[in-house]
Formats: sequence, C-alpha cells, structure tokens
Amino acid sequence: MRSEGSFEGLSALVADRGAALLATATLLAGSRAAGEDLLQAALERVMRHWHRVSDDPEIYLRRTIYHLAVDQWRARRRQPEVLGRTGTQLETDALHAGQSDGTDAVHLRMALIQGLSQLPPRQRAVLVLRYWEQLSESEAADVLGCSVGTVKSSASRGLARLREVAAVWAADDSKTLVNGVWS
Amino acid sequence: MNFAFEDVLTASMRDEVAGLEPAPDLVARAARRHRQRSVRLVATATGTAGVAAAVAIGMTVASVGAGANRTSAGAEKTGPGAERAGASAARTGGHAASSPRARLVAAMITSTRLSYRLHLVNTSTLAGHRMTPTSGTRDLINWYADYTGVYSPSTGTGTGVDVVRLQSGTLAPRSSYGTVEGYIQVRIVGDRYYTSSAGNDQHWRSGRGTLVQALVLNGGRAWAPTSGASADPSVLLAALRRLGSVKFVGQTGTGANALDTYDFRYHIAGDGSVKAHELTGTIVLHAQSDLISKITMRTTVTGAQPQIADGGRTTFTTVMTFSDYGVPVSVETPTGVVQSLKPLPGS
Repeated sequence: MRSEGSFEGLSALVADRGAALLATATLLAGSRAAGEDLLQAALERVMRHWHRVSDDPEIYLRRTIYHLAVDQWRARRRQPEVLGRTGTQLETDALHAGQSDGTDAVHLRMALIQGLSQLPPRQRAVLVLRYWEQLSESEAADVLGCSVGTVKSSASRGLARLREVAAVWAADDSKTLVNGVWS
Repeated sequence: MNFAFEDVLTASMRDEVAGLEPAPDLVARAARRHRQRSVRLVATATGTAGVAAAVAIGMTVASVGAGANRTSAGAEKTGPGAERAGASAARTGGHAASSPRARLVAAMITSTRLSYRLHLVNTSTLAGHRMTPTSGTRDLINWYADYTGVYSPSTGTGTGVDVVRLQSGTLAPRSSYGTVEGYIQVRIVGDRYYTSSAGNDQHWRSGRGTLVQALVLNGGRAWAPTSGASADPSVLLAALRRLGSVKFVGQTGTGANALDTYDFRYHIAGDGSVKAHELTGTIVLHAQSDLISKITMRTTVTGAQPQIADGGRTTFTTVMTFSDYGVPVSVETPTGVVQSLKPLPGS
C-alpha cells in the first residue's frame, strides 16, 4: 500500500528506467513526442491508482503503457505520428532505399519503423512486445490481456504488412526472401 | 549474407529509440496533471453532491434546531431556503446545483476533501487604547500571526510555518511594537498538533487540537473559542454550513478569472468568556471550478475574562487564502523530545 499524493517511487523508477520506458512508448506511439505523451499519460494513470500498486511499479506502468496504446489511441481513432509520410510515400522511400551506397540497411530500418507506426494499435503493440521486449507469445498475451491466439494472429498480420514494405525495398535491389530470411 | 526479417525489425526498433531520455520534469508534469484532474473530478462530483448537501443542510437545521439555537441564539436559519433549493434540485435532476447557494455548499464540501495550500493571517486589535496619559487613543494590534502551509483535510495532516508578532498595547512591552516574535514550525498529524521553533527539529511541543489551536498556543491568543467561529478552515466551513446566513453578492471577472463573492453572517451566543456577538465575512469562489479562493471574517467581542478580550473590545480578523488544490501533503510525526501540553482552556 502506498501513500496517496507521494510519488517518490515513481520518480525513482523513471530516473532509473525512464529511457527504456520511453523507448517502448515511442515505438508504440510512433514518435518521440507522442511517446512522451503516452508515457506521461501512463504515469498519470498509475498515480491515480498509486495507493493500490503493491507489485513492482514498473510492471504496472508497462502494462498501462500498452493498454493506453491499444485502447486510448484506438478510441481516439488517432493515427500515430508518421513524420508526415503517407503509405505510398513509404513504399516509394523503400524503393529508393534499396539502391546504391551502403545505406540500404538504414533505409530499410527506417521504412520498417514507419510501417510499424502505420499498423493498427494492437498489431503494433504485439510486435513491440515480441521483437522489442522479446516476450513470448503467452507473456505478450498476459500484458495485453488477450488470448495467445490474438497475439499470434496480430503478429502474423503485422509482420505480413511489414514484409510487404520490405519486399518493395528488396525488389529493386534483387534481394530474395526465402522462408523469412533475406539473402 | 543472411538475416532474418524479425532481426531486422528488432534492429530497426533499436536504432529508432537509441539515446532517448525522458524529460527531467516528466513525473512532475504527470503529477501536476493528476492533481488537476483530481480537482476537476471532485469539483464535478460535488456539483452533484452539493444538491444532496443542500437538502442535508435544510434537514440538519430543522432537526438539530435545539443545538443550533443553543450555540447561536438568533442565528438566521437558512434551512427553509436550503430545503427549497434542494427540493428544486431534486425536481430538476440536479441542475439547481448551479445556483449560487448550492455551488457555495459544493465548494465548502470540496474544500473539506481536497488538500490545499493555506495562507492564514490572524490579527487581533484592541480598540481605543491610550499609550500614555497624554496621547490620544488609537486602535492597537496586539497580536498578529501569518501562517503559510499545506493541509489535507482527508488525512488530517498539515505542515507550515507561522510568523508571530506581538505588537504593542497593554499586552506587550512598548519596545516590542512591530517586532517579530518568532517563526514557528507547525505540524498537524491526526488530532494532534506539534510546534517547534523554526530550525529546531529536536524539541517539539504537542497537544491535542487543530491547526488554529496550535496557532493559539504559540501566539498567545487568537480567535475566541466561540461556537465555530474558528480560524480553522474545516471548522469554519462546517459551522457555516450549519449556522450561517449567506448572500450571493455577484460575480467579477470572466472565464478562468471569474470569481463569485458571498457575504455571510451569523450570530454567536455569549458564554462565560464573551458576550453575544456577530460574525461577518466574505467568501470568494473560483466560478469555474467552484473551489474556495479566499475567506475573510471579522468579529468584535467583549468579554470579562482578560485572557480572552482583555476586558475591552477586541476585534479579530482572519484572512484565509486557499490555493494549489490537490497539492501532495506529506507530514512526518516529529521525533526527538516531544513535550506534551495540556489542552487550552476553552479549546
């Protein structure tokens, strides 16, 4: 049981783990600014229930970040910030990214991040949980409060969409995708 | 070179967030917004609760009339008006909560639930004293206390600093006129107060009582203990809800700066220490939030007991300014040497 109105534990947590928390929030929200908004909103939510937070506050805060990312962003029908690029521009970027000068990987990664930010919130959250947080499907399901099947299907759809983006990038540079592996 | 798509995705994420650090004031900003939201919620809730409270006031005045009469003979009973407001509110599904009186009640309730920063100035003035046999008479401030602190009514905790001055007249040496008597730390923990000289955390005096009783103890005198006419905000607000006659004066300012002003007045029965007297004052509300901004009150008492009114007329004036609603209040019970004090007479 924690005292209401005093959030020293949260301050210490953010001081210690703030970078990692902001990283997760940024990936979920699509930009640093939106990520900080999301993290702040999650902190406010945790403060509201602070007196009931008896477990590790980081676990509680991370769950809140994900729930807000999925529910709140969806409820507002708010698209994450995408640095001003449309889907078509995204694919064009990927096309040009594959050419030339040794910066292919960087361009591909940028294209994937933009593709990630355009996914539906749940798919995005699942991919962040699986490939950023490195959680198992069941652990991701636990965080999101959904079934393992939902995690599997969301991951599958999200990855499929990102592969489309990558395929556009790869086509121009004669790279091949075999069983999920680029060569 | 082979690389798994998922690995590329992970690396992309890593690149994207490399070097991110949250703003230093992130938690503070969240806490500020959390407090603002709490204030809005309580204010909204009491907008409805105020209707029930208005009804309750009418019922309280009607049902405890004997008690009210005993403590405030001649008090203007506002129960019927409150009952009408409540009944009207009930009929209109709560919309009458926006009436000035209902909103005032709501503000009083809110202010007894939310923590706040309080600036309280108490002054007692002796009327018409002659400093020397040849000098003319003048009103003399014989005691002045200026308290600033935070208080949480819900937890009954608070802390602050009181600046006390004893200033002249028959109660203090002439040489002390205008001098600062001391800076007093005050802590309230539950039903006990603790006071200590500022900067000394090892020696405390403690007694059972409220904030104003702590101020009385250190200031030598404050409000006469008269039937709820207290400088303690929670006591005063409760007393006003039970006893007072309140009149809406009007609104000044617009938007976020709009303020509603109410005048209040009630009669206080005499007792063994003071004669019957009137207390008058003003309440100023933030019109948008229905939160109390300032309360001023004033009364002049005449009593037989020197320790209360010095045998003459003493005017007590209090100005309470409320701000920073929802402020976190964290108060530790003092450690070290704690000297227990007996309750004050009449407190």
